[in-house]
Amino acid sequence: MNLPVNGGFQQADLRLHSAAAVLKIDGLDLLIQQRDIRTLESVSDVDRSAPGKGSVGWISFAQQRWPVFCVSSRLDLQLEIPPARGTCVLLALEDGYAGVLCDDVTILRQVSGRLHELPVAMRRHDTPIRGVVSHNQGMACVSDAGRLADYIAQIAYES
Amino acid sequence: MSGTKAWLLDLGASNRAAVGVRELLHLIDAPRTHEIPCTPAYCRHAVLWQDRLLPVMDMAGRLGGELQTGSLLAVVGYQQVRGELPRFGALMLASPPRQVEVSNEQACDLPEEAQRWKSLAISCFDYQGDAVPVLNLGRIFDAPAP
Repeated sequence: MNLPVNGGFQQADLRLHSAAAVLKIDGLDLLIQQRDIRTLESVSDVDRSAPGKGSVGWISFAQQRWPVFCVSSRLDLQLEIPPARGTCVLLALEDGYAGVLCDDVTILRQVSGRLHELPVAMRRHDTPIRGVVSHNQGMACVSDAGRLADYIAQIAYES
Repeated sequence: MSGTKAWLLDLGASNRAAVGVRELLHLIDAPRTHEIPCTPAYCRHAVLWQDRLLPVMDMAGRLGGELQTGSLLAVVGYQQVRGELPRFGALMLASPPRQVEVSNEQACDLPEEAQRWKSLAISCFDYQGDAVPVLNLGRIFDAPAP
């Protein structure tokens, strides 16, 4: 079973036609295309008053405010922001934006290597993880803004 | 009746099972595993083996027991259909496997208390008074996560 090709990633060999970003969230390295990111903000810019369900606050961008979510390395929602989360990544979505907090972000100008599909036994129907790729003497999980935002929106709705 | 060889696996939490002698390919002690989010609790880690990403299956956890933290992995290979390329997975072990000789006379039914194995075993044999399920590796590794 092949994962669908989209977002500039090709099956089997990962060739990035544009730069990628690695979001560090505790022990998790989450790789998404840089074009999925609209802007990086400081966590101090997050308005933490009256957050929406499952979120930790709001970030202002383009004359609107967008929900900000905090997740663990297992991509579980966190309603308390750990001290290490210093950066808010604003994901560009089809119909707006959403913020995700991470410890730091590394921009990679070029990534190549084998994209390992997630084994069937590990593939939950709702997973935002497309596969893994070698990164920095370890592995990075590959996702994209759409899948990540859909997943977070769903668990926030269910929270 | 001629016998055949099998590997007896200690899956932790008093769970024992067997695989065919040719199904166990490699033992990895203290492997470097990688936790992957949004995966089942019993299969949360993966290991790179010969440039393949293998799921690490905690069978004791999958059977409803406490999740294991063993540092010994058995790499297994299997075919869903004869002639196809082998597929691979890794089983978490609590202690090194032991090779045993099994004959047809030892075949037995899964005991009532072992029905949780039903969808995960292809057969069962009696070994020293205990019923030992034989793992259906295709079912274990190729069934999508719930």
